[in-house]
Amino acid sequence: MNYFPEEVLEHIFNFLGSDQDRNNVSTVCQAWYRIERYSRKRVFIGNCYAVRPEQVAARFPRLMSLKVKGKHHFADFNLVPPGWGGYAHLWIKTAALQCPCLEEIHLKRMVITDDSLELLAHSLPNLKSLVLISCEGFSTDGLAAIATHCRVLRELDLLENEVEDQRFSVA
Amino acid sequence: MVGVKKKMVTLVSSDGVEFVVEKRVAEQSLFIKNALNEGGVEEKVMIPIPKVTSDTLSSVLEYCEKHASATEFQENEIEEWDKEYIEKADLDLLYYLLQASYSMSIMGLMELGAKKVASLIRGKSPQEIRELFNIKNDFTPEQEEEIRREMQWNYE
Repeated sequence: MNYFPEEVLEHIFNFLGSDQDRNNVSTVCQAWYRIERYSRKRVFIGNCYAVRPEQVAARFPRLMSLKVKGKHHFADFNLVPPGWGGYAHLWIKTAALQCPCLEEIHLKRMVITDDSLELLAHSLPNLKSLVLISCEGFSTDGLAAIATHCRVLRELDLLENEVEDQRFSVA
Repeated sequence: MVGVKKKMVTLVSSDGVEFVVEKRVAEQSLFIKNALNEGGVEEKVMIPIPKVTSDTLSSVLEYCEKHASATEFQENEIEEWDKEYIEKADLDLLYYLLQASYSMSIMGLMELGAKKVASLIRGKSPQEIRELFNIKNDFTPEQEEEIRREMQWNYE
């Protein structure tokens, strides 16, 4: 009796809640894999190097919320060398170009440039929530671009970031 | 209600059983509501319900009857009733109810059934889910391995 109508399956999957359960149903059979893939709206990536961003975008084309973590929390105690990585550029580029439905981006312990923030600002006008926690590499210029172009932004959460203040710099 | 003539319609299940019900009960189904509006004929309407057997249809109509008079009850009474209603459906009926609610466009019933199925799936492994719903694993071993590998470290 595996022939639930597809629309019904999508409803069922939306009631599951946990990603573990979603992962499990996607492994049941090909039809379920396909329906789950198109109905998954939120993804959390615990390690930015565990999977390539374009792989995530290709598998879940209707993604609305993306959360990515970069460095290990040891970085909070300066135990991760400065050049370790955790660059957000590829994630942001992929989000901007391949995930038109995205409304929510959360990044933690990643290195983000102003260019990336600008790309985000210009490519995702529907962005409603941007949360940056313990990130570095960007300045007030990048934030200004977000504030200017993301007109429906409702949440801009900045926690423990190292933000360079460009307001007094000479152009 | 004495003296007020209720408008009735007749629904015919896929196995040919006729159910005479109040129009307002039948109209819990958008599919029927639209069919009635299109027809314009009020008297002696017969509406065939394809692919829904009499067993399923009688259970569907039980739901529609309750929800057609939803305004007479407190909200939590309806919730309680829904819970009991879906709880007593076995797996086969649950499956047919979902199919029927989808084809007859009864959103409330579809949500109720979907929630119930989700609760059965939660916490189960792919193999347990397959056994529960009698689903054939049609992945090649390579595909399955690939998906499993992709999931090990992603999408926590």
